Amino acid sequence: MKAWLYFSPKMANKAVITDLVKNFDVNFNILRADIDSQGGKMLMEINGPEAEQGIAYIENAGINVSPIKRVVKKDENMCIDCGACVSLCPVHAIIVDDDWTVEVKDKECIGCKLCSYSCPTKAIKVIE
Amino acid sequence: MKTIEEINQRIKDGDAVVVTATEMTQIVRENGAEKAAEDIDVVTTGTFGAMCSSGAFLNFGHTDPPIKMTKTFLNGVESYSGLAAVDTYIGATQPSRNPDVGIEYGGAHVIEDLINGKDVELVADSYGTDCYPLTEVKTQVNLENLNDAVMINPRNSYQNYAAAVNSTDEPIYTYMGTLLPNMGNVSFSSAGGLSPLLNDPYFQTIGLGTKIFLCGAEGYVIGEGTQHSTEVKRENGVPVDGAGTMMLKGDMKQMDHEFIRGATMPKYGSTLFVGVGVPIPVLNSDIAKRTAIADEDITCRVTDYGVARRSKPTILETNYQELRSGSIEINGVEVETSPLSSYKKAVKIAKELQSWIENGKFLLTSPVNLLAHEGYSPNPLKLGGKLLL
Ligand code: SF4
Ligand code: SF4
Repeated sequence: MKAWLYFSPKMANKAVITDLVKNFDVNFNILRADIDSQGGKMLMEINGPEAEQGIAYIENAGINVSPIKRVVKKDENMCIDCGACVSLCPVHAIIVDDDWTVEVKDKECIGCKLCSYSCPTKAIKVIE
Repeated sequence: MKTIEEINQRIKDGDAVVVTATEMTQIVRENGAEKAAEDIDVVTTGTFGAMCSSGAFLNFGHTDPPIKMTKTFLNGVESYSGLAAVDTYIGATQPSRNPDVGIEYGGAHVIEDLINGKDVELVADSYGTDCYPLTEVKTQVNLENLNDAVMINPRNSYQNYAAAVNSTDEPIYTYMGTLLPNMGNVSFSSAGGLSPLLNDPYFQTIGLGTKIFLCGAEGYVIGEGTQHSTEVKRENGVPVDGAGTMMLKGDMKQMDHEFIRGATMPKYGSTLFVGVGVPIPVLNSDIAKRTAIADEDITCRVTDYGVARRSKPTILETNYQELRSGSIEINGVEVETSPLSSYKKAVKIAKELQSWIENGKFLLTSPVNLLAHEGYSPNPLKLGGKLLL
């Protein structure tokens, strides 16, 4: 699953994430991070056999975990399937089908908004 | 050898054999050009790309009392008024006069809105004359109540076009879309083997008076486009860079919103995605051979838009098969590619035109004057003072 982790100023220096990896069988991938001594937020993908326990652990440690549902949405009427967005996506979440339709896989999106900023017809939007 | 008249007779009789340029590639590979020229009557092409050099002449009709419009705005976008009293030309790249809107809504969007049947606000003023006393007008217009809405695009459908990368450390925003730093992506813009002028690279059939598919309606080629160039290096018979262009005309009242779209390239400007399909009559085996051109036979230069000069350095040469595969190799690194012009719509246009001809709805025309295939090479504009770049 993909979630935003919100750190309070107190939490910012604690090694919660390090402990998470040490103590639980999880795979994780930090997709975005915006943290300083004042706290901040981090977009993380967490999977693996003990993902659920791991999430419970970090929540207990005081981190606010907010799972992401749909992140990116393409309006099929506005999209002209030009493909301008395809090569901009850092995680290959936008692909061209066999019939040249441009498709966005919202599960893989990390919400960087590069596609929505660059779409010439404003067809693609990131909603969080 | 056949003539356009013979092909038209076959179209009327419902006997014409019409294929898309993609199908033709396969047919010529299998049967050879001689046989294909006997079997096939028409090859259809298509492209749907951003074409900045587009616009439309509109005639509003006269008010009572009349006005000679000298400044004209459509939904806040200025259109050229230096014509007769109620004629105007709205250009695709003109931004909104409202600085908060700017390039987000430009002439291209006005044209799209009109074709989409929407009402558009007309605001115009004038210095007033004895015969045209009214000095201001503010009203709504739409496609239905305009006397004329004629799209005239000075330059469409480039024969080939260099792809773009960016070698600098910062992203840049261009008419080729967003280019990521350090050659992080490649943007290209041609329908390749399906593209109209690449299927008739020596202009043996296309010229002034050729009837075409333009934005879902019948339109016409009305001559060489501006910056038409014939002196570009060729490989496999087709130019390796931007070369021939067409000037096109069509009636907006007949157009279909599916094949036209106003767009904005971020930090660059508004532009119009125009759908163009040109039918190529297969008059002889040489034309058959030319229409068989495939993506892999068309060389495309990849140029560095990080260098803000008129002639940009070429990084490497590739072809449209590689570009369309999703990535190409640059300096040993796989770099993702973006098409920019919609191949899906290009295919749809070629098929739509194919069905028009098969159903006898669309006859071919004999051009009055073929597009020039030699002697055209655009000159740069010399600056009088110091070069600023
Ligand atoms: S850039 Fe916009 S219009 Fe083009 S394929 Fe992507 S979402 Fe569609
Ligand atoms: S927002 Fe970013 S990650 Fe998501 S689809 Fe768009 S480019 Fe890809």
